[in-house]
Amino acid sequence: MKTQTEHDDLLSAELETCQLLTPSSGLKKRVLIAAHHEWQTHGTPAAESSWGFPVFRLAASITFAVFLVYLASWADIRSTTRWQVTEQTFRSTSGTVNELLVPHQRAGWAWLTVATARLPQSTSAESLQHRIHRIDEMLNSYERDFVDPIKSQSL
Amino acid sequence: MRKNHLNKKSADNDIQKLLDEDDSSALDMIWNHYASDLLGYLVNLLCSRHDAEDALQETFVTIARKRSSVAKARRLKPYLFRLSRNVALNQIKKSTRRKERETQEMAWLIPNTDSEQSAERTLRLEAALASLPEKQRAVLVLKFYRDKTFREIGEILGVSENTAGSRYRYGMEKLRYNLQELKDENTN
Repeated sequence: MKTQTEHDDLLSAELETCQLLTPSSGLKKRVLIAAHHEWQTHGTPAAESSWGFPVFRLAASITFAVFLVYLASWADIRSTTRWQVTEQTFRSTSGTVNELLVPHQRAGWAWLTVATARLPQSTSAESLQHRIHRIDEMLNSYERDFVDPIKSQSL
Repeated sequence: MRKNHLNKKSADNDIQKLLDEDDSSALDMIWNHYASDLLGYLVNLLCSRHDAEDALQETFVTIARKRSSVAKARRLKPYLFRLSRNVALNQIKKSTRRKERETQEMAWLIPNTDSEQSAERTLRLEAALASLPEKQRAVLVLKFYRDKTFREIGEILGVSENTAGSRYRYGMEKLRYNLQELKDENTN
C-alpha cells in the first residue's frame, strides 16, 4: 500500500515527463506585430476620458436617485390618498357619533372633527399652535358640558 | 527567491512607467516577462494550443488598446492574468465549435523524450488534466510547468495561498484517479 507522499511523488514524476508549450518565435512576431499595430491605430487615449467618465457617472447616479425619490413619493401619495381624512369621512364619522350625542353637543363635535381633519393642511407653526389651543378649549368645554347618554337615558 | 520577486516588482514598475509614457517598447518588455506564463495559463483555460495562441494575441492587443488602464493598475501581474482570463472566456463564448475542435488541437504538452511511448503518455496526461476542473488544473499547471509557489499562484488567480494549496491537493487526487481510469481503459 503506497502512502500519500509516494503517490504524489509518482504523479509528479509523471507530470515532469512533459513540459508546457512555450511561445515560439513565430508566435512572438505575430503577437507583437498585432499589438504594435493596435498601439499605433488607437493613439493616446483622450485625456478627458480620465475625468469625464466619473463625472458622467456621478451625474447619472444623481439623476437616478432623484427619480427614485420622486417615484417613491408618488407611490406613497397614491397609496395613502384613500386613507386621508376628507369631508366625506368627517360626515360618516360624525354620523355615527351623532347618534350618541345630545343635540347641543353635536355642533362642538363637528367643529372638533373638522379642526383635526384639516390639521395636516396648515403648515405654519403659528396656525398649528392656534389650532391646538382651539382643540384644547373645545375639549375642555366638551368635558365640562358632557352628559353621559347612557346615564341620561336611564334617568 | 526574494531577490527574484524584487526584480519582478521593479520590472513591473518599469513596464508601467513605459506604458504611462506611451512608449510601445512596453509591449516587448511584457512579452519578455510574461508571455510564457500567460500562454501556460491560457492553455490551461482553453485546453487548446491554437485557441491559447489566439487568446495570447488578443491579450496583447487589448493591452495595447487599454494601455492607460494597465499603466494605472495597482499590481501588474494579477491584472494581466485577469485580462487574459477575460479574453479566454470571451473566446469560449464565441467559439461554438470549440468542443469539436478540442480533441484535435489538444497538443499543448510536449514530451521531454522523443519516443512513441512518451507521446502516448503525454496524450493521456493531457486528457487527464483537461478533465480536471479549471481552477484545480490552473494550480497544477502553474505549479508543475511554471515553477510557481502557492503564494504566486494565489496572487495570479486572486485567491489565498491556502486556497491554492488545497486546490493543488484536490487536483492531485483527481488527476491520479483520472490517470488510473485512462490506464484501465487502455488495458481493457
